[in-house]
Amino acid sequence: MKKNNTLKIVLAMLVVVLVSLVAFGGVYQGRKLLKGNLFGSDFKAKQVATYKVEEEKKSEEKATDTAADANKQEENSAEPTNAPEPTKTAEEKSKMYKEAKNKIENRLRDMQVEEFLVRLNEDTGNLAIEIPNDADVAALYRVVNKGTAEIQNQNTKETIIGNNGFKNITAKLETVNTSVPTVIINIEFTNEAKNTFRNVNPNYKDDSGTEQEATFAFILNGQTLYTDSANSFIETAKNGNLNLNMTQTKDQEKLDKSYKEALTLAAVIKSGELPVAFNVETVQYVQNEVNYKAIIVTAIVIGAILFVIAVLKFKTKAILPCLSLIGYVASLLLVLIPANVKLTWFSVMGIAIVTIINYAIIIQSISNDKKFMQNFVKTLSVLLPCLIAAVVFCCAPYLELASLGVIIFWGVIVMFVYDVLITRVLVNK
Amino acid sequence: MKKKLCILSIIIIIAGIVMVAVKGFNVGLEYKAHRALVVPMGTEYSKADIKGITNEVFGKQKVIIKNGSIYNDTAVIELENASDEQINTLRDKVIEKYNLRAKAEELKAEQEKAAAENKTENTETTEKKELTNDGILKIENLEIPRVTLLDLSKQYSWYVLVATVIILVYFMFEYRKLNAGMVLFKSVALLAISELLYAAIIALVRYPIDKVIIAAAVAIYISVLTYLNFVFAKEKAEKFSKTEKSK
Repeated sequence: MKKNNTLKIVLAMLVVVLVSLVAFGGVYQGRKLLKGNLFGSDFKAKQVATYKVEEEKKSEEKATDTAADANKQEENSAEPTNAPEPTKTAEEKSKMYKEAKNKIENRLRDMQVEEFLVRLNEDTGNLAIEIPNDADVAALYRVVNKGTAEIQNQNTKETIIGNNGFKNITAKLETVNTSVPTVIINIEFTNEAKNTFRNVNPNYKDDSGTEQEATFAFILNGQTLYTDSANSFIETAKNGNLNLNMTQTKDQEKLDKSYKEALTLAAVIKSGELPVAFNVETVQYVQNEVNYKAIIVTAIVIGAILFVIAVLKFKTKAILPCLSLIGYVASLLLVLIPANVKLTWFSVMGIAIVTIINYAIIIQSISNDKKFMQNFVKTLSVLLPCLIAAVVFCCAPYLELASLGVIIFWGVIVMFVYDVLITRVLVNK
Repeated sequence: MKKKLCILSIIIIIAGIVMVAVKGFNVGLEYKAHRALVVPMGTEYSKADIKGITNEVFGKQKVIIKNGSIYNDTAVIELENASDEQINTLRDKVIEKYNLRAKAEELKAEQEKAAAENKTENTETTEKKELTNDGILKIENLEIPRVTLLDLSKQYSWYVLVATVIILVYFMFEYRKLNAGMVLFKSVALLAISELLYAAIIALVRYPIDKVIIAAAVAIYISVLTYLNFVFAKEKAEKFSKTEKSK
């Protein structure tokens, strides 16, 4: 019986050592598996774009225009004077800049940019946006698109529907109902827009006075994205929905690119027109500096303190179970690689939380006379708030919270398997 | 002992509130409004060398040096403020350190030689290139606006709130025999006190707030909820065993 126990303990510790070597040392095929983990922008590079408000340029142009106007008026005093545009107060400008910032953040979220940080100087309106280096850098240019969308009668240049007429816009990749994969933008109109379509005149009078069917166009920032005959447009749009076929191709790369562009387009129009126009000043690559040594040393110091506390309290009973926690962390890190979890500071904290919880389970098991499994099952129910928080955080569209949620979730699952297989043997000896 | 700890916590929280009211939190450079000087040296550089130069030029001002290119030939120097004079001095010292003037003159000579060989074609381009070579090292001075703590917390607050409500409802239901109102009160009180205590300590020791601090606040939140569940489960088990014994 004693020999059996000793064998089990030796095997358990061998597994701990092996798993730790694979995760931290990269023994398997000589590859450093731990470095296969994807790192979030906390540990990697990011793209930082800075933007200036365009109105400064425009106000200078207006000033020269106004001066030119004034000169003309001196020459020809019969012409009426143009009333100058009222200048906005600092408070009004600040409100506009904040509104623009909120819309830009909504756009980045809808463009499915996992991590972003938008900085705003409320006095000048200058912006800076940070996204991970592996995100689509084109997003940094598209996100500040003014977003003036309209449905226009191309023949009369009359705007039929403005930004306010668009209720919702989504981009999707249609593969089921089409023979060739198609990127589609679906536009949902408001009730007012639907009524407008029902009552709009689909014809126009040409130069000779003859009524002809007009062409309607969907225009973004002066660029025509889609045109169709008026009747065809109205027939579809009056019911409230319009599907625009953007790209049809079997080429996966082109399809992915087109889908991203469609997502951007949908995000830009959905968020509404920016109250302020921005110019991209610079886009700069910046590598985040992380002191990995400090992280490892901190982890070792905290681990050593907890180990010493446990050993002082429970003597030799605590040594092997506490050492097995190294194997637990290694197992968790190995599971995270196929789970495709990006590591951020939040996920590092998540790893710390689940490890400390596992430590608490071990201490609880050593401190009383009950079997490990009895203590373990009891403690699992205590983890319910953790799991609830993990599930909620997994739903967040922000990488940091989502990575924390995923780490806690996997941490509890790995804890269950690891403790049943390895820790139980070491505690029950 | 518990009373003493309670009193100590309250004192620390009050001191923290006073510190925040008077001085605010010490926000890390990354989240303050600051400047980023992009120094494109065009040659591999050493961070230690740049650090030495920035110490000379900017004195005691906190400076963070990051890599601004995958080729390790551009440095991004982040600091709170930099005057034009300081930027010029930095420029001169970097040119001197990495011998950029000689390299620029070599390049200019090569281009002039190429222009001389193809005189008629390249007159215009030679002029343009001369203009460019005059600026041997152009340092871009980027404005990086601040991020308010409120903006930072916006990303997390909604989901933390949803998770908290669900967990508190679970506590009130699961431990209703311990008086649901009391369970709710204790949970909210302990959560609030733990986070306030943490914030107060951060404010008092003037630790610069960065992402690690925010992540630690979320970690404390989860740990406190787990601890609360453990305590309530224990109380419930004790109450249940007392009831069984009395029967």
